[in-house]
Amino acid sequence: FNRHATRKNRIDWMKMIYSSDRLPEYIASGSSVKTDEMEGKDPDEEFFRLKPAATVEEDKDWDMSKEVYTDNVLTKWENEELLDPLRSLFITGQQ
Amino acid sequence: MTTSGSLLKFSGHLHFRHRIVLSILSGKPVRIDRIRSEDKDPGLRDFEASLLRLLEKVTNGTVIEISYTGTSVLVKPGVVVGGSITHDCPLSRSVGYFLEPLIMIAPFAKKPLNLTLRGITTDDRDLSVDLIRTVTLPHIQLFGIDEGLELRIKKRGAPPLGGGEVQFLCSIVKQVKTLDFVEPGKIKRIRGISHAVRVSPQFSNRMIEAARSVLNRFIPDIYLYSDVYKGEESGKSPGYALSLLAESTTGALHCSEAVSKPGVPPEDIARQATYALLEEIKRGGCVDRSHQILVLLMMVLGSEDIGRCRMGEPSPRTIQFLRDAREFFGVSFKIAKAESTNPDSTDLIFSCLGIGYVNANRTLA
Repeated sequence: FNRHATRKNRIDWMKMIYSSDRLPEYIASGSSVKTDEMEGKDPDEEFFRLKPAATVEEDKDWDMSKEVYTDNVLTKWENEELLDPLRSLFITGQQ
Repeated sequence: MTTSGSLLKFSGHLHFRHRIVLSILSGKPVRIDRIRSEDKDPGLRDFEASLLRLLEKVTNGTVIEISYTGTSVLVKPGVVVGGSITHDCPLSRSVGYFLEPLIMIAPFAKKPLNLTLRGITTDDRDLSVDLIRTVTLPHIQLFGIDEGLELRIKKRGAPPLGGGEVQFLCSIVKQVKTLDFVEPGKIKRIRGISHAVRVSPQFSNRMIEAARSVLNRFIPDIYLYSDVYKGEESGKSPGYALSLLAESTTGALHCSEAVSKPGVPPEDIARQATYALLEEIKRGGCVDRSHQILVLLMMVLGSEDIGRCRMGEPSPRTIQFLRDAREFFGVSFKIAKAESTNPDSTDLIFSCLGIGYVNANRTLA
């Protein structure tokens, strides 16, 4: 499976989780662009890039299970047009 | 006693709870160093110390050593005993913080757990008692932990002063079932609990109204319950919140919640919860994002068979959990795209071979 996952939008989750030491926050936020960009860097440089991000993260992380949504994630739903594609996920929507 | 396992070392205060849970279940001692060692106020927080004390009550023979500065903890797990326990939670975290790890270990106790927790019942950091009752408990029922599973909300307590009380009852199992849950289905109903304590009960209705105005277009089967607690049962501080859950035709649950903030009208709180629910539904999978860890843990412990579950993208906490679970149990998951033909779908299938964990603490009948 992994070998064939060459498309940009396919993040190789197994490799990222089990055989890289990248921070979880990085992997989770990793849009395809970010991961591709990171892939080419040599490990030393990557290490220095990650460190400041980690210390910032630690100050506010409370080991909490509830998802924190940023305002723009939620306010985008005020746009009525976005609501329509969601209908297919409900039994009332068409296939 | 099985203390033969080698000592596992971690650093940092993050992911504290699931590491302790993994240690207790695996019987492997764990040492966590550098807990906020760079912080202005280093060491364990009161809620973490309180959680350790609670785990000491639930288990027998657990040795917990905290260094003088509080920046390092050593836990040598004993056996999970269960039984009847009461614990006062500090006001820095809600009872959800304590219930989440307890739900993971309670099924493997020697005696059924009857836990009374006092403190804050709903806050914006941890799952509220409403969500634990309506969403977390059904998630562990998937694994055959069913009988006598209950969470009673006796009193509600809003931050900052709390004053709430809940009772958690959990039966014990010998082994958990293997999960095979790959059909997300379609959302067939939406349920919700809206509560308001020490403020006008009308706030609760206003939240329901606002949530309905967005959700009604999707589905007619919406029932939002206004839960009113009065007098002594409503705790010491004013507050209100809306918890929502969407259930699919295959029983997949997605949930969201928003809690009152000073100066924000109830309509806005309701909309926050509603939009968060839509976001959660859009992320897909068979399991709610905040319950990924619980489900994955139970899959690891499952009988020696391949367990499969479809989920949305893992959260950062889940990613760290997957790594830690491999350290403790040597189990790694196979993670594959759920729909390889559909480039828009981000759903993943997590599969693993369960270790066939047997509840050794259970008294032999």
